[in-house]
Amino acid sequence: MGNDIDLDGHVIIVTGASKGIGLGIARHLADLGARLVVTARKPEALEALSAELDGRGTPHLARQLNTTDREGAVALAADTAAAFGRIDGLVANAQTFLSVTPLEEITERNMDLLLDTGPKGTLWGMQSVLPYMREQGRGRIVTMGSNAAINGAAGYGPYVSSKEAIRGITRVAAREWGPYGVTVNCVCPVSVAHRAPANPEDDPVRAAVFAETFKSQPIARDGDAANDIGPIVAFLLSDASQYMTGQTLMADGGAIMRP
Amino acid sequence: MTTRAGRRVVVTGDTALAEGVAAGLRELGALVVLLDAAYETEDDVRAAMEAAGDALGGGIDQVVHSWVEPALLDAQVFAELSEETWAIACEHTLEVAWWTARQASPALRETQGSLVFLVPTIGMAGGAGYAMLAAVAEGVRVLAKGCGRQWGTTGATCNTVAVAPHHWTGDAAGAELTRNITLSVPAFGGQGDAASDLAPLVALLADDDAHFLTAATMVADGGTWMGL
Repeated sequence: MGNDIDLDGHVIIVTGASKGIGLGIARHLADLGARLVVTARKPEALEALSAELDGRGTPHLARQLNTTDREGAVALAADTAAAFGRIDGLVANAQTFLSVTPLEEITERNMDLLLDTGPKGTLWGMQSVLPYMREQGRGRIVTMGSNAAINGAAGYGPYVSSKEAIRGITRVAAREWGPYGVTVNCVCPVSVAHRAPANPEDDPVRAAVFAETFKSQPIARDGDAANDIGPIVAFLLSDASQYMTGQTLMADGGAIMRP
Repeated sequence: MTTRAGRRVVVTGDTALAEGVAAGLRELGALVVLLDAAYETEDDVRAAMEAAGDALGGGIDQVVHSWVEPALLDAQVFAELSEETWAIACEHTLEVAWWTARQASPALRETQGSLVFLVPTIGMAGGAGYAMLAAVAEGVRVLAKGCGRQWGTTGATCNTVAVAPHHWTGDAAGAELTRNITLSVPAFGGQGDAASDLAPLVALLADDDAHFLTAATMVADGGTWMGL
């Protein structure tokens, strides 16, 4: 597959990069020649990713980070700038997920967990990289929303509310930081293979949501994190998107066609 | 889907926007035919598309449609619009968009190519005095969604790029319309340069990298309208 997006040498932070969509994005950005800073909560997964990036010859830092840790996010940005001299992009991907739970059964802890790791974690990351991007006069921030959130998928109350909050923050940041040359956009992917139940009977509600989603898509399949979602994120990190900000891009094979 | 060098592109429209996007695509290495004529019938569109394909060496990788009937670009009080004006301006512009999609379809299916419609953001946000232009913009966006759904299995894609209204209405009217589009501060504002801000985005939509984007609306208006 040919690539026309040039991210060679760009310094990009990808949070939650050790699995799922974050891992696919990191791999695609590595293919494009970016220098990466990757984070994950679990050291074993992070070590595996770091070893893979070593094997690819991708200059990188690997840092254990819980996205709720605001001081950790600040330290991560400082470490990135110290190691590479700049921060070109942030892919604020990390977020804890919650299994299907009816609204009437959601606890305060459920909500706090999703809001702490979702919009608050995203904001801490954005705040941390802003000073560097502002000084550079250029920056690209990509946040992660959800197709399920826009549709209001049943059983995903905390997740849906956290993802829509991220889209709200995205738009505000775009307006506030546009004058600094920083764009802030959101991607809503469909790439669920890593979350789909191996046996649909184990989680019929979730299996039904996934099956219905694929059925309605013009490109009627799950998105591949590296080859389908990664290029769309890369576009938003590139100069080709320099006049787009505050927008949501659906990376869902055409499932949702709003607005 | 192709790489940009030597990509065969047809751009429709007789505005500075069409010329600017064509110039920007050429700077990126594409071969571009600019179709700036008006069309009366679908046969006119078919003939123009065939001639463009021949001029490009026998194939088309991307079609960028921005043509509108010039009468759409004049501010008019909606309540005073005549049925005749509506038919000549609004309906005919939609017809030409539909004909363009239909006549571009065989070539784009063959190349797994890209159809891009350029529209003003006032379709999504409304624009006093430009009801027909707004209606056309929304009609075209629905057409793009239909094409996207129908072409999904062929590898051809169809997307819309929504840009600042200035490109159609001129600077003064565009600025007024933009003030009404957003209740908050635009991130960048302005209208964007067709060659350097918009053409790279149009080019991206024909890249391999964009193969999973179809039926989408890319808003490139400097962060003014953020409705999705």
